[in-house]
Amino acid sequence: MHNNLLYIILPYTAFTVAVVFTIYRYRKDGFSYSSLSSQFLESKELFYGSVAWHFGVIGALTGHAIGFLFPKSVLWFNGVPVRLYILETTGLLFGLLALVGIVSLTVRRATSSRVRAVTSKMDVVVVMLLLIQVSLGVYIAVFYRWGSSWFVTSAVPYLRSLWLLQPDLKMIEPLPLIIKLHIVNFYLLLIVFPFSRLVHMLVVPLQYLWRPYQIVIWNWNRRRAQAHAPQPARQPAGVASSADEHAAEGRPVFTR
Amino acid sequence: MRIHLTRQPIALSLWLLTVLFSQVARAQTAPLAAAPAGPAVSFEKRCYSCHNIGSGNKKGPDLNGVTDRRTRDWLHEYIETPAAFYRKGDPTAVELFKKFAPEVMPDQALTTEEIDAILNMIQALTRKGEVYVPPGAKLARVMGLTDVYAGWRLFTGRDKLQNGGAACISCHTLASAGRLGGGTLGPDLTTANIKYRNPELISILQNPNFPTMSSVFAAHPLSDEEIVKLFALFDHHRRQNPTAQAGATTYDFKFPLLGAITLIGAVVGMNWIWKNRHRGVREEIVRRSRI
Repeated sequence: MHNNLLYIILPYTAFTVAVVFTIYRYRKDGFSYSSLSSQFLESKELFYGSVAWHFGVIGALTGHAIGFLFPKSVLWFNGVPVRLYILETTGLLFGLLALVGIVSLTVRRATSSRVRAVTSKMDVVVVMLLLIQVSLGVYIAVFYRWGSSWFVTSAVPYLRSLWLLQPDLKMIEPLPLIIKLHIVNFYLLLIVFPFSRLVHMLVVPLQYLWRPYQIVIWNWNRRRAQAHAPQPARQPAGVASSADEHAAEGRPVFTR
Repeated sequence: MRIHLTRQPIALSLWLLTVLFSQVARAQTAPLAAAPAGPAVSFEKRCYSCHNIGSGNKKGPDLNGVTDRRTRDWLHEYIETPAAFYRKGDPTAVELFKKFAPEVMPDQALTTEEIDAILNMIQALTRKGEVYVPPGAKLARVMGLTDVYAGWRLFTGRDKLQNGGAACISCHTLASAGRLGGGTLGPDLTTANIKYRNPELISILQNPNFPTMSSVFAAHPLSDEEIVKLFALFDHHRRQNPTAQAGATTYDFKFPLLGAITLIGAVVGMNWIWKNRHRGVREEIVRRSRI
């Protein structure tokens, strides 16, 4: 019974919630489709986090999608061991990049007071789910190899059976627990998708790839601003202690 | 009643789920009944991968004398739904699951008559003190010199399996599988012919009734010719190292090491591609913001 709950009821519920609430949120509050960039607050750790994460996760998701859409071609490609090794190593590289990225981003979010100030509860949930998902994925790639082949023979028939509304669990029931957790955690990610910053993947600003650099700087003179500063404006949330200190000294405060 | 997407997402979700689940429920059809077979053949196809009668434990217990140890009702219920029986807390089932972990016996879609016929056969063999010998566990022809290489080509996927099954290397490794070895979802098969005697191994190749394999290979069975070639390969590995310990396997760390090296290369590459990124500008902003 719990198998039906986790591998039939949960996926359909997750998919329905994801689709309906994604459309609902877009129509109701389209401008909230954003990753709420925190780059302005810090950039050093973000580089190793964000770039590694996005390359890694896009590569890993594409790999899963190719396996789902072209199972026979993947098996044909893996017919020569060298090609199988190249595909698996590439997959593992994407997984490791994603892992390095998400760990780095999690550490940054947890340790930087500025980033923590703009972190919502849903951000914490998303980061935790992604951290679990990527860790499980890398573990599976390393210890239950060669996933590119058996994903096609064991997991894809199940996913296709869901798609065809004829769920068939016999392929995934005997799989190791770690692999099942990876599947269930994916459904949980689908459920939180429309309620989180993950929706930004639907509005990727592809034009940025061709756009020239924009250099953003603060164009004010600190000393002159200090001299002419009136009483500080409202305090930014989450940095109250330092803001209080500055306010007491009559310095300008970073406001939003 | 008209549902407005922008106003009632919860109602719309529930409506969609109702439609989905009603379709799913309609699509669930009864499994096709298998053609009736004699108990010896049923046992070979469904049970012999994991159970012997009279020649020792395999992945599951030797069934010699099981009809004397347990009641018929108990056996019927257990064979049909072993995991459910275990979850119910039956002490014997709990003990068996513990002893043979991590193997979990899958539910068997056998009819009551088929189960009874198999149990009668077990009882008869036990009374006579005989050992079960699978009737079909024979190679279709004598192995030839080229079969080991042909088997290796099949194992590694260089030659496709006739009925469309995935190559063994997807889940299994072998001492000769390749530089990075084979898969590790299933066991290392280098010692397969040491762990399993000849008829057992042939029978497994004919009917791989292990939980993970049976679902994958039910629709893509190995051909008789492929069984000869793969058996020749496993037989060759047994001859190469007859004293190898069955089931012994060590994890080869070449693959994760290769992954770690490519990761370092990728991070260095990232730094090189974006070497002109504006470090200085943001450092200045961060510094100023800390006034």
